[in-house]
Amino acid sequence: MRAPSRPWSIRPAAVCAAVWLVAASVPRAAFADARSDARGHFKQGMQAIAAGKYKDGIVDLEKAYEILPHPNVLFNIARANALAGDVDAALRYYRRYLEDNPADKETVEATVRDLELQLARSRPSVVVPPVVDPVKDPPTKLPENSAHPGPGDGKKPDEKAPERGIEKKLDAPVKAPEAKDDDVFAETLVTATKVAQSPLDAPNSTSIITEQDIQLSGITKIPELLRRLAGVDLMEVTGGQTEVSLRGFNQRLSSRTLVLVDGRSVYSDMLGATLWQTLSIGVEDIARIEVVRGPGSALYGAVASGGVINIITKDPAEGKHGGARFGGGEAGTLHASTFAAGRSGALSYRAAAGYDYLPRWSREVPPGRADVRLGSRDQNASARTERFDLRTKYAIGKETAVALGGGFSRGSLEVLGLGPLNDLVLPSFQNTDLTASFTSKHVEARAFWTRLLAETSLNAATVGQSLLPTRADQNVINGDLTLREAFDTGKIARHDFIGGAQYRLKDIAWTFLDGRRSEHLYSAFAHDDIRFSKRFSLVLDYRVDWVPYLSAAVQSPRGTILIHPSKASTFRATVGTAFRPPTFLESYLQVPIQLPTTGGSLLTEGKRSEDQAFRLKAEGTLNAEIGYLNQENDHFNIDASLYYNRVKDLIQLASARPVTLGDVAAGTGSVDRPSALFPIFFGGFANQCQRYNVYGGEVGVRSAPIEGLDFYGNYTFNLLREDFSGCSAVERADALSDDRTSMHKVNLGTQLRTKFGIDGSIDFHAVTKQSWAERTVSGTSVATNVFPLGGWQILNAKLGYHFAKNHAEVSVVGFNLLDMRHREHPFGQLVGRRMMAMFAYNF
Amino acid sequence: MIRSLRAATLALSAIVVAGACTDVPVDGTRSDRRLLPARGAIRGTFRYDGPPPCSEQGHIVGGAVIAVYSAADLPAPGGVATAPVNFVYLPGDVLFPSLPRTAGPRFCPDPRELVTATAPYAISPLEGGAYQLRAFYNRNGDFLPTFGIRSGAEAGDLRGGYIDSADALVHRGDPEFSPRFLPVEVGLRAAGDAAIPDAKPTYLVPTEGFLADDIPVTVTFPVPFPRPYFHATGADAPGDGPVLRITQDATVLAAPGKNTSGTWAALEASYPKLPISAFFPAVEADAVLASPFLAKPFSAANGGGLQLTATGREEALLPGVPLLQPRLDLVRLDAARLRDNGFPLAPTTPRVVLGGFALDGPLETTVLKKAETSQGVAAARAALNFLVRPVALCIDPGGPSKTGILVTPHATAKSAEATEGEKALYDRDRLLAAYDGAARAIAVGCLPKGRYAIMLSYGNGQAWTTPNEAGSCVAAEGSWDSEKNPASCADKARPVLRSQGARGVVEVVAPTTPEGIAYCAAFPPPAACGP
Repeated sequence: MRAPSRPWSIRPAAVCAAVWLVAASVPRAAFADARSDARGHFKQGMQAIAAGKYKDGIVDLEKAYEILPHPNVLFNIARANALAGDVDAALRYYRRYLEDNPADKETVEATVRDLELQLARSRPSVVVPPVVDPVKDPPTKLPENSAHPGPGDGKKPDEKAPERGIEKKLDAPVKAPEAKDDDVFAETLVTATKVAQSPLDAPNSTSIITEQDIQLSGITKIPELLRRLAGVDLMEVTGGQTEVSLRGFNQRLSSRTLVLVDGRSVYSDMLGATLWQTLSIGVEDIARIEVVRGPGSALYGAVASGGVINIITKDPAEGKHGGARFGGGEAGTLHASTFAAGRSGALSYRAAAGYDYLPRWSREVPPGRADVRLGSRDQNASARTERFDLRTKYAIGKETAVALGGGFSRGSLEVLGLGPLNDLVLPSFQNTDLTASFTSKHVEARAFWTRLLAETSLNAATVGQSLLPTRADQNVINGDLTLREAFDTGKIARHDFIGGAQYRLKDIAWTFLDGRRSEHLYSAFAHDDIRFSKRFSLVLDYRVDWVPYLSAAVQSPRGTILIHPSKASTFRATVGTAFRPPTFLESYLQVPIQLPTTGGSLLTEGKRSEDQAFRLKAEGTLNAEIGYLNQENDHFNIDASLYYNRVKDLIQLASARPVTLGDVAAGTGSVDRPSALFPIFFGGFANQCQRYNVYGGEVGVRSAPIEGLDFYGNYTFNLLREDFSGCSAVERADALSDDRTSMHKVNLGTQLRTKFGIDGSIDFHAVTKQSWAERTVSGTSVATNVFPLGGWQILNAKLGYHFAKNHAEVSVVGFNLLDMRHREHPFGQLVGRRMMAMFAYNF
Repeated sequence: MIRSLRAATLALSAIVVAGACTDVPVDGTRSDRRLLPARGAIRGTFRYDGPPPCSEQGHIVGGAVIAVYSAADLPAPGGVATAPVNFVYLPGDVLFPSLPRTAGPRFCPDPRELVTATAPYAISPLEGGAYQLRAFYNRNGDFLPTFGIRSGAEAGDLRGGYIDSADALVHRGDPEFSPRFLPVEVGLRAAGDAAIPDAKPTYLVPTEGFLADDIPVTVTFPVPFPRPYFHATGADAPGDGPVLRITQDATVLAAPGKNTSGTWAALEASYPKLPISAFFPAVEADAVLASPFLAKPFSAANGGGLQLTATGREEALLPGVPLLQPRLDLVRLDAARLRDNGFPLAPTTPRVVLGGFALDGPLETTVLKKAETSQGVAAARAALNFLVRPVALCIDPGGPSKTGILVTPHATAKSAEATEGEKALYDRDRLLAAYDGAARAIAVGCLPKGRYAIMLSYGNGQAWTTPNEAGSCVAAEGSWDSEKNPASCADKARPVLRSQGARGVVEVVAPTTPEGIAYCAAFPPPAACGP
């Protein structure tokens, strides 16, 4: 047997070289960013400016900008400098503001020209007019719609006036533009209703992982970032496979949580799961992750039955910058990422590339086995990903833009599949996406194509057993059209209406399926946010999806009442439904899975050959939820939810059905020529007869008592009760109680940022026991058994040091620092400790 | 500052280097343990020597079946196992990749031609142990592994296995020849427990697994006859009673010093008699030839009935009586599976097997016709009577001992010649020898109660057993109307043949006489026979 390769053998040297480079650098004081701190400074600064204390205000705004750069802050600094009479500084900041090609570029350019004129007048021969604050001293005598009014002449200024003509306008005071006092550092999210809004206005319970959270955690795996959130069930099954579900019902291929990247679904229709390691982005490319808990089918249709996770990447229009981060650690773990962004006129771009090598947590096949064949030569590797991502954006006017981008990733991956396919590898995969969008104030249109090309195989099989090699080619073409309009219905209410339609083509050729399969899905949705007053609003959603497999249209309504006792607090009550139709795997699978009896198989089929009329039903969820969110205090936020879910028709692996002589008489049960296997059992999928009543709740707090120090904590409760009243006696005898969601889950953490360049975080995660009903094969029998799984605790930490004017960072990151070995699924790998050392440089 | 930073980065480098040198631990405790512990595998080359196979629709018809049997639980000949511990199927397309084939309906080349083909095979996983590989090439392509009625070699197939090829060469052409199967050892052999009589060696699979490599499997012996299809006479009648009841204290006459017509008749009358009819009742004949059963008809060309041959040996209890084949074995069945119509019906553990012997007419005639059924000469019979030997072999194939014990209700019996009085029923050595080393001792005790499947087998390993799948419907197929024959399963329509149903058994029942009850209380079945 060939010895496993040691892909990491040369990498420590590279990492050491990188670290040596760091050692050669001169460290300088640094201070990390923080949204809450920046927000505080911004608010103080704007208040000071409003009070005429321009210098104080500018200092605060500059601090805010230092903590968390935002173009609006530059604008306000520029404006305050202008008000304070420091035209030089004002021009400097306005020009910096314009570098970001803002939507109000033309207006600000006019202001800059005015200030330049004013500066010209500051020459000794010129009398400088004072700058006027339009709020405190409105220019009532100036004609309307004139940004550059003359002294009572009422004429529009000639923007191309020759230098000499300037003299004519010098007698007039320059009007300062209005301040941009929007709370730019306030949390906003777009996922809950498809428009940017405060979590206070969201009809669901939401969470946001910020860029700061990502940076301070040191985590390099995207899904691992979600572990800290309440209501998120995260299962690190292998080194490269993490399954995420919201509010329970996690599984080895998690199919009930819709994962989006910038609104684009990255859900693999083929498997019915999100293959995180096939994404073309790394953690460094993420601006924030929005998590919407609870059924989201009313807006997003199928798959969002548990909730929605939307990864918002950094906007190409953010400006010119770039960076790189790389490092490595135990068992050869490697992470490298680099990006560059820039702009040329209205065109902006962001390019990113990266590489990840994730070892397994543990290997199932020891070296030197004589009785085993391997589907993957490297039994230490769990995932390898090389990725490249390029996004461009072209601004057309103030609120209109077109974007074009694409991503590509390739590598290998190990996946714990379903049932007997419990150890799959993708020796090679390629994932491609091409996305185009048009965005304007009222219309958003987006189209994307994604392709996943993969080879799959069992990770290992004993000699004589098939490795089940397959090839998969998944193509998805998706088109969305969204219309937005705000209108009033008399004096009763203000409506923010969103309507849209979607078309999705899924075309999948996979050896495991009964043939090449295509589905055309159509859907339409409507969302109306009806604000009756500042205190009370009603959010109504309705969506209808045509599901080809079911030959039926599935409706998903939702209604939410929002009550705002104060400006920054909300009581929320929601009732809605959600669904998940069968995946391609569940619908069209046809694969003889070799049993330990070499010539026999479990013929796993979506379309049952012995029961042609059989059809799976869509899973259904009825959700009722109440929630409370309070963001009144800048130093302390609280978010709490209580919910009830009634879940029915969950799709699970069906019990194995022995092939009978009756089946043979009907023409089934003969040998499968390609595999030379005789079906001994029929398998596939079935809807569970039992229904679930889930009672749950989440409460989370976040506190920032002093600048540079954050605490968070959350607790999740999930109580599951099965209802077998809908089961026949036979079904009841076959049904197994399964309690795969921990009843209690706790997350605690702190983040520290200092002016000395040291920053870090500590995160603690604990869940209680679970039990999983899973299918195993032994001899010629296929059985479902309940596997208990003990609770586990994880302590993660990062310690980083910034230097080189905050451009560089070295850090040490520890996952499961206390090495509390555990499994997060009964068949999952043995998760232990992983230490990594990282180096990052940004410019 | 620079110094401290360099120290820090040095430490980071150390972490990275140290970390990168760590390895991924091996997980031997995963809950499903699908790949662990280490298992055994057998690998080698399969060889076909015989007439060219048929083809149809662009494919070679049929394929090779290589079955692995535990050496402790062999099928006929030599055992009663009905299912292997593992098997592999090599399709004809794999075995004959370059052989010309027709794209049209089935075409079979001239069988007088001979072709040779080879292909690699491998079978796993296997526990440590000693195995035999038995194989055949299923020429009709009707093999189905999970149904006993379609899992055996049929007329026209080629049979063989991992055999003593020199011995096979000598006997090539003998339709009744049973090749000498060679053992395949999987794992590292160690001596069995010295405290166990006839202890089996144990086989330990090392942690790196065990591969028994280069094991050749050859099929070369044509199977001339259909399987020994039969139905127990009366089994096609309504009801679920057995065709034969035997009391636990079954009493037979002992063989006299010298037989006469009278003693032969007396001996025959004292033995439980099981009448067997070849093939199926006329009312079932059409159904059994069609799908899903696909039985092969008895015809003049292939023997026309049950093939009666002599083994060259004599019946253990009756010196002078030729031991004829088909061989009769009655295998006690798991009562729970019987109640559920569960198939394949499972024998009990430990195995309890009653034996019997065929008569070619009356016992006396059988003796007199010995020459006609001498070894290797077959004669077709439409019906046969079997006498059941009141001796049960109790043996646990999974137990630590290679041998079991023989249980018989009586060590002595009245002689068939009244003047001889009570005498020994059997000669110990002769009886033990009749079981070919499978038994180490003889115990006096009543026969174990229960229902026993009826199994007829030829010397070449072809066998047929009732009850079988054809005689009832499993739960998924639905119920059937037992008043009809053939009936049909309600949910998955297919014929149900009453002759192959629950009546096709022999039942050992409790004694009915006070003496018998008292006797069995005093001499119960030994514990080695199980409950």
